[in-house]
Amino acid sequence: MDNLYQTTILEHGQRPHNFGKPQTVSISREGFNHLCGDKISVYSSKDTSNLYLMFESVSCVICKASASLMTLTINKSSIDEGIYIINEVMDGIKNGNIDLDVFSDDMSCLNQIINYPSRINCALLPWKTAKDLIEDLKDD
Amino acid sequence: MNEKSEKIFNVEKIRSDFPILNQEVNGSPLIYFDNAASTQKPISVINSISDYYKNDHSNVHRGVHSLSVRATEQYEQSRRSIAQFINAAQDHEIILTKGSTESINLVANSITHQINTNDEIIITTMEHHSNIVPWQELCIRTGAKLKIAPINTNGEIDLDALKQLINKRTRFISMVHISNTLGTINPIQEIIEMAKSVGAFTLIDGAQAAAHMDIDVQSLDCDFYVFSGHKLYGPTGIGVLYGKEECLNSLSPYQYGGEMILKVTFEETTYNDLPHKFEAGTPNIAGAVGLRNAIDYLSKMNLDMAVNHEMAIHDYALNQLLLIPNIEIIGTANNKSAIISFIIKNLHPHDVGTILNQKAVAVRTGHHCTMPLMDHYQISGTIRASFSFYNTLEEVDVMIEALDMAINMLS
Repeated sequence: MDNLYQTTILEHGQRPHNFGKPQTVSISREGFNHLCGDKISVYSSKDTSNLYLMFESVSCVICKASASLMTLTINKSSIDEGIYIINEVMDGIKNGNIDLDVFSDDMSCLNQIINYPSRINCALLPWKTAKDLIEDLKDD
Repeated sequence: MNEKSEKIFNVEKIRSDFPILNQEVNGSPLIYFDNAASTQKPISVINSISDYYKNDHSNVHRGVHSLSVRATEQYEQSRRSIAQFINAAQDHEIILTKGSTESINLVANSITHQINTNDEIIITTMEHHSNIVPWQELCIRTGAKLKIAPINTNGEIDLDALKQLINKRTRFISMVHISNTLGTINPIQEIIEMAKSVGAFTLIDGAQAAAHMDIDVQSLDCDFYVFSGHKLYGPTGIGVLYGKEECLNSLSPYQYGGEMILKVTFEETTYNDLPHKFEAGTPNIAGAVGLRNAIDYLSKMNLDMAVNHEMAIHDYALNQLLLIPNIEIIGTANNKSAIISFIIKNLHPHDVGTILNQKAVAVRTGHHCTMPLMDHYQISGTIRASFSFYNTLEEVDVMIEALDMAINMLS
């Protein structure tokens, strides 16, 4: 528990970055965790050529923190980079081995989720939803 | 309280019957407050399953050898015990299923040919998904309309609104006896009478009720009553569909195959009589044996005292919870079982539940398979503590301390 609800998770979960809706939304996707009823909306802004994602959610601290870290990690990336990052991080969350040589130290908190198997879906929901959104963007 | 019952109802003695309770989780003694999801099993139930497989197992019915005869006797004795437990008029009115969900699906499927496009099916806002989706599907198949009886802010059925919904088109009323989320004990006797007045079938989902109150299906006069073994201190994978003989006979078979036939040719099949008509395939014999032993265990207990003990824990926990700032109790019916659902402002149930688990307090968090009820309260989920006769007031104190810790950590 002390490892899960550590400072980084609490900071991002309680005061998430990029929480809200961009003024101009190009595309959005909703994600839903049927196990717990949590909902997240991920938005892409129209105003930039590279990715700029924001989100709103009715969700737990783990999901919000994961979403906050996701936007900080992905934003300003290209679409292809975004998909690559998401795949890497989702694998990292599932295996507890997000590469901290590649990603920021703050992401290390997501490596603890593997110790709480019932919470992995909470952490994955934003990334899955963003992946759906970015794949839609790529198809456009 | 007589001397005998006082001697019988001894929490420490009862706890010693449940080996799983004697363990530590995350370095602290387990506190199991998730009894609405599934109850733990007394050693007599565990041993009965093991003994059955060690000594008596074979396939039931039709066998001429001794093991098959013994297995059949064990299985059918379970049916007799269940019939006595809920005071069914006849043993063959007891159909053994996987659980409440399968029991409801059986009825909702097998009654299809009796429902038409002008009919209406009534359920309530507080139903478990297992008592919603089968009826939705029935309505899709038949064109019948699904009507939802509303509840008030306390989580009680609005009987006046229900009366308005019931009319000559009402073909079926299916509702929960005790809400798994709210703990509300519904006035099913009154509602069954309302249904009878228009000739509607009634099904009562007793999944939460069977372990916490006397069930007398003849007195209730319901057409169908369902419950699960695992919420009754019995094994998983075994459950009960009670149906009045004439009601069961009016249903089509649910599944087809062995056991449920009298005669099969390539041209046609004749179906078996009750109860076998609804028990296709090899049944869960060991599960039935375990359920019978769970019923035996409960029958030796003074149920009134057990329920009083559960409610004493409920009342104590409720009073302690109400001292916590920003807490809201979801479900405050006057007639309630030992279930408390609550939310704490700005805290997500899953986060609270995870922290409680670190203090070995097992509660359930989320929508409890009642998403429409969550929508009614405009919440995504609750924290639910549900109590059994093996719980103690001291365990409630630990939960409250753990909640304080969770609030401090997450706020």
